[in-house]
Amino acid sequence: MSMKHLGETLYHIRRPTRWTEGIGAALPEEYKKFWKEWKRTPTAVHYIEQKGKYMIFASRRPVQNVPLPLLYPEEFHKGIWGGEAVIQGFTKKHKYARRYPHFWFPTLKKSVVYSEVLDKYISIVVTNRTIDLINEHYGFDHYLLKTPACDLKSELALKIKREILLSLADKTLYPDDPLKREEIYNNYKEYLTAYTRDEIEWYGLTYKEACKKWIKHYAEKEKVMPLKLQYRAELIAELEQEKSQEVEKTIFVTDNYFCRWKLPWNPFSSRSD
Amino acid sequence: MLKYTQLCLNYLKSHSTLLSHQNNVLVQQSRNTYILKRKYPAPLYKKHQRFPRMTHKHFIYEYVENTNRRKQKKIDLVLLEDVKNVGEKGEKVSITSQRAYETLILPKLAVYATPENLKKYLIEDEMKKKLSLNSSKFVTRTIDILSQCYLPITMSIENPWTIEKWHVRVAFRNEGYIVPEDTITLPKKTITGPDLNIENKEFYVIVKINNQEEVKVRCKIHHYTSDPENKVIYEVPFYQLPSIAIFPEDQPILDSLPKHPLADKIDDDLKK
Repeated sequence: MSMKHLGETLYHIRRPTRWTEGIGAALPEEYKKFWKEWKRTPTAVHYIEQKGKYMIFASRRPVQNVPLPLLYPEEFHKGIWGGEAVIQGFTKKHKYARRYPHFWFPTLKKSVVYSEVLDKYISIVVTNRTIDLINEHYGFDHYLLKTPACDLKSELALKIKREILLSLADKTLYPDDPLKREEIYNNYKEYLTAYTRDEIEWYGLTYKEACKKWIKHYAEKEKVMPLKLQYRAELIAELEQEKSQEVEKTIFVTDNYFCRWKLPWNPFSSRSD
Repeated sequence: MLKYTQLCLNYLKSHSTLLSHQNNVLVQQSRNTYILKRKYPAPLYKKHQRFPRMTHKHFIYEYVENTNRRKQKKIDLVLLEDVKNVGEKGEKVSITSQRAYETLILPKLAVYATPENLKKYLIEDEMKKKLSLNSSKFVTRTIDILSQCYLPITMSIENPWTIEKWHVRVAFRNEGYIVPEDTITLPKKTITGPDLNIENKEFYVIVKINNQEEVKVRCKIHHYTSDPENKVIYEVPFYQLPSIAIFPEDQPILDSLPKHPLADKIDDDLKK
């Protein structure tokens, strides 16, 4: 970095982000790791990536891949599109033509996926690319476990991946069939080495869900109580103690032989009785 | 960000007035996987920068390829059960990706040909076994088609006749099947006519394919004349007519032959 830009960075005050204050700053490192994996630039699907460091194109120039900006609509998170998304841009027919706005949509279809670990058929919206990827990875579970979160992208896919990882880590798959459980577990156990148990606990959550989870687990423990309540409780305990002491005293006093109101013998009775 | 449905609606709205957008009339929107490229490549950025400075012209895209138009890849599978028109149990087959997924992988009729699965499920000497069973790969299909066929044998209403092999051969040829005479076996009893009692009644012939497989084919006798007054006319389609055997002892065999695919549907409709 040149000296010119060094000056800029030294006096630059960073903007506050969701990670600098509040619950975001308190979230555990495990969740931040997942977040970084999720928000990385995904692999090139809608454009062809240039390979190498330099290319000779009239003159030598470095290769810089600038990804096409993609739109992720609401429906994207309810299906598994295999890296495809909506592209918003322009078309231009020839040099002197006006540019026209154009949207490129992926082909969606309703299909079924089968998860071997969960032993479930799930009906979801997919694209042809998703099914090709599932076939390339030899199964839906392998596809989810091998692909990083940035390429899965959709919340549904990450939720299913989370379920699979949890059931593998806790070994809760196939509760009725121990033989099958061992077989399936041995097929997939290599994927567990990439994560610790805490990382799986925080994997595949949206920011909102992570905050809720944090509040539920950690914030409740360190709840701030008003001092008023504490003092009141102390006072009540004190009073109760005093009361009990008094009662004890009175019992002691009444038990005393001389202090009884009623004499144990009648003074007016004759001796002869 | 706009909602997805809203995006689509907005896009369609812009297309509703054709005259206002004459340039785009020919380019109809279709939903496919596109590979695009920038018409004007993005400028270079410095090392301390994360993105280049982009203007509107860097969002003008050009079509490169549509992956849905590509020829589909074939994937290798090992079959777990016998599947009609695909293969037998333990056979390694290669089928197009999408079709394999929907028809074989999801119903668990096959597994992917991974090294472990190959060891577990592949049966090596199945080729030999198959050769001993069928004379050709397409025999099962031919048997299916022939056993479903209702072969109409049209005979004269005026001239006397007895059914011979060449009558059956010609009837086959009318239906589009070339069957040599020496492969046809007629029933032992002779059928003579013209006899309107056996009109629309059935008998069966046996056809031998490749000197190995035998199929029973049902034949129906129909009487024909060019005189329009004496013509026998049916109002319902042929598969709806009752099937009665000429020789009562053949009735169980004729009933066991597969029926026309539409025959069941019509039965159901009539019941309703």
